[in-house]
Amino acid sequence: MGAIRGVAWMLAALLCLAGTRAGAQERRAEGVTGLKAGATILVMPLDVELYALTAGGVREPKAEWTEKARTNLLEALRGRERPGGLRFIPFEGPADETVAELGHLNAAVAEAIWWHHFGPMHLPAKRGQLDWTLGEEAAALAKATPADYALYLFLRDSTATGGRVATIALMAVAGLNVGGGSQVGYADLVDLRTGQVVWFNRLVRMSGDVREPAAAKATLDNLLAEFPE
Amino acid sequence: MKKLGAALTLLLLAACQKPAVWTAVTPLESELPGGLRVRGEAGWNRLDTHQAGTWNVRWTVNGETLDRLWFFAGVPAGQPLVRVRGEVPKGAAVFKEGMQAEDVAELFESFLSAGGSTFRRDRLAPHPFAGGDGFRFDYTLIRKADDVTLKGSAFGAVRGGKLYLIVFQAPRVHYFAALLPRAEAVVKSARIEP
Amino acid sequence: MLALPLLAGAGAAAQDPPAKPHAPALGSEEGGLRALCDREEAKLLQSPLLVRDPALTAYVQAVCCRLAGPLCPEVRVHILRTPYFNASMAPNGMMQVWTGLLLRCADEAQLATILGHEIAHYHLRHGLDQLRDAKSRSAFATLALMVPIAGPLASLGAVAGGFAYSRDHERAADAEGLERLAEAGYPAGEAPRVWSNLLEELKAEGGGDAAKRSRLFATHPPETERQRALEAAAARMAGADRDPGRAAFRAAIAPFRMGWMEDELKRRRYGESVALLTRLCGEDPQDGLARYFLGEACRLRDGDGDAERARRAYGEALELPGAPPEVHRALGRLHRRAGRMPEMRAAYARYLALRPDAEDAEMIKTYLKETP
Repeated sequence: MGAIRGVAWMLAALLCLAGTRAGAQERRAEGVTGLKAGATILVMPLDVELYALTAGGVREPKAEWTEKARTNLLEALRGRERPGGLRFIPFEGPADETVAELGHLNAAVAEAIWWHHFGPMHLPAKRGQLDWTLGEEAAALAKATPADYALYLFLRDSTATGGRVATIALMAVAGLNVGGGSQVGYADLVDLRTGQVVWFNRLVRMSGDVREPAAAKATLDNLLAEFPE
Repeated sequence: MKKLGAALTLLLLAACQKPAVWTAVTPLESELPGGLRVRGEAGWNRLDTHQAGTWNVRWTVNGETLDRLWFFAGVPAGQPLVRVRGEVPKGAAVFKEGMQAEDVAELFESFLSAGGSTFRRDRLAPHPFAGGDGFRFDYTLIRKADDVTLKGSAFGAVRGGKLYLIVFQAPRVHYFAALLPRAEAVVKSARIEP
Repeated sequence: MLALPLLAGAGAAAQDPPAKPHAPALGSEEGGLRALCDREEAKLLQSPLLVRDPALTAYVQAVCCRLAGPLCPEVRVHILRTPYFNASMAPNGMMQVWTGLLLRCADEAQLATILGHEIAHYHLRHGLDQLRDAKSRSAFATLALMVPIAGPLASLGAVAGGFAYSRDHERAADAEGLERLAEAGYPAGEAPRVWSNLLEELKAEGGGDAAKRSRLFATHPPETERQRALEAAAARMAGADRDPGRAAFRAAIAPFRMGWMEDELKRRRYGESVALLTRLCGEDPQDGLARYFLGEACRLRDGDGDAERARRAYGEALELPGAPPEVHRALGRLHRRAGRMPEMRAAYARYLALRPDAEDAEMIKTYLKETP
């Protein structure tokens, strides 16, 4: 739930950055060019929620959309597999306390990267490197299903419904932009041998959709920009 | 709409105008408030938060959601560990003259636990600080914002009627054990100039 | 289904009991809400705040079932270690009970009062009504999406439940909850006491209108009205001589009370804590644990005369069963401050004898070596 509050910060940070620093930050850790052929990537349970933005500006959770989005995103991930190339395997091990604790830690790592690597609060001693880790404890994730990497994916997607669209049109006439939908998310890839975050990307945009397979694929392509394949 | 617009503008101003500016800590001796001097190796980043109280400085290696070395350097009697916009927060516990190690540990716990918390003190023991007697306490805490379990070690002493406290805090998984030796090295280098 | 006669004076609107909730279509509003709650429940199960004690959870679950009747299989109890007065039930059957509530109940009937009220919200499907009510949608979305589970709260009654129910909903839930309480064989007279006790605590903190400082009282019917309605309704019910289940309740929570009292002091609302602990000492004058913590609350409040109150409470605790070894440490601290070194050494030595592995043993050993 802290993630929702995080989204508000992220949005504010992004809006601030829009004109100042654009895409100069490395999405890969130093020296990471690609993953070995046939590497197995554990897809951690997708942290995805879809909302309908109603006329009053309220975000209503949409279970049906969320279900579709998960299916579509997993399908789109599988679409990236090539014979002899990477394999994506959904995490199915028991979600015990260790897995939960690593998930919480990953969210804290993602927040740090968001703010200090891509965001406005640079840490000069990091010298611009994507240099973060979950620690060797991350190996515990591969206990039930042997894998080389873990992929964490976080996405919040709001879509304007009919009433909201009417409001937007009305406000636009009055010269106000109240916003349609939005997508906020991030994804990161963790080397399960060392715990190192080898790749991270974030996504903030005022459009996008994951309810249809094609649109979900486009969203995933955006989210996985410069993914080391 | 006006209200919403104003709120958004404020949010943006808050986020844009004062991005915290971190500076790199050099391997040379660092000057801290209250006459405290420490030596930090490369890798630390420093943030001076004078608006919170002239005695507050924070260092981090990876960002504060992951690790924080927290200096409360020369808190005067009658003052809280951290001020909010230059003021003593309502109901905040303050440092008092004559406070002992257990009182300081309690003061710090109270500061971290505003609004209820799962703070647990694991150890309180004597420990040298800045060339004299001092104390150390260790603790475990669950951060409510994101459920991350943190461990912390605090080192301090009362000198010249002022409180000096250096606290290292990081997630229990990986970060605490990985960075504690570097934090302890900083604490070991501490001295207080009159 | 339980019989649900209306209670005159409790303000319930006439309505048919709604159908038992079933698995709704995912695309529906209800489906969205339930799926969201299901995911929250999955997160809750991994929360470090979850009390993972099968015996305690089973006990509270049994009380729930006694009240819920046929709804029992739909209710899943989760106990969260949070020192605030709260229980809530989400539209998917996830019941959260906070330890601050358990600490504050004198007996099983008082616990059942709150649980019955929450079960009534669930049975009457108020959560869904709230979502449908366009006016409160923003409030709902804010609460459901932004309040972290057991997040930091400023005051005792800051959140009465996950949802901001309307006063009509609260009255209806009070009425049905009381019916359930009586039906389950509890003395209904315990119900109003829960609210008067809580209000006493809030008043004790001082500074303004207690009822206004608490969201619980802002969204719930005015406490005096509520108390009166409950008293009137309870008076008409039989069974004043029924067993409120005090012994069973105390036995179930006994192993946890010390930790919960420690949590209570961490709220830093020492006025409220003094009121609460004074009440607990009154309910059981032999309770050495509550007496020790009353001393701690007074010491931490540090107002006029509190040092003396603390000293007296520690002294009394020494003579009572259940006083923890920490009472000797508290006395040692007082003696040391006053320069009474022999008394200090005696008290600290007793503490270390009882708690040789205490986290502060190393520190205290240095005090034992001190000379005046």
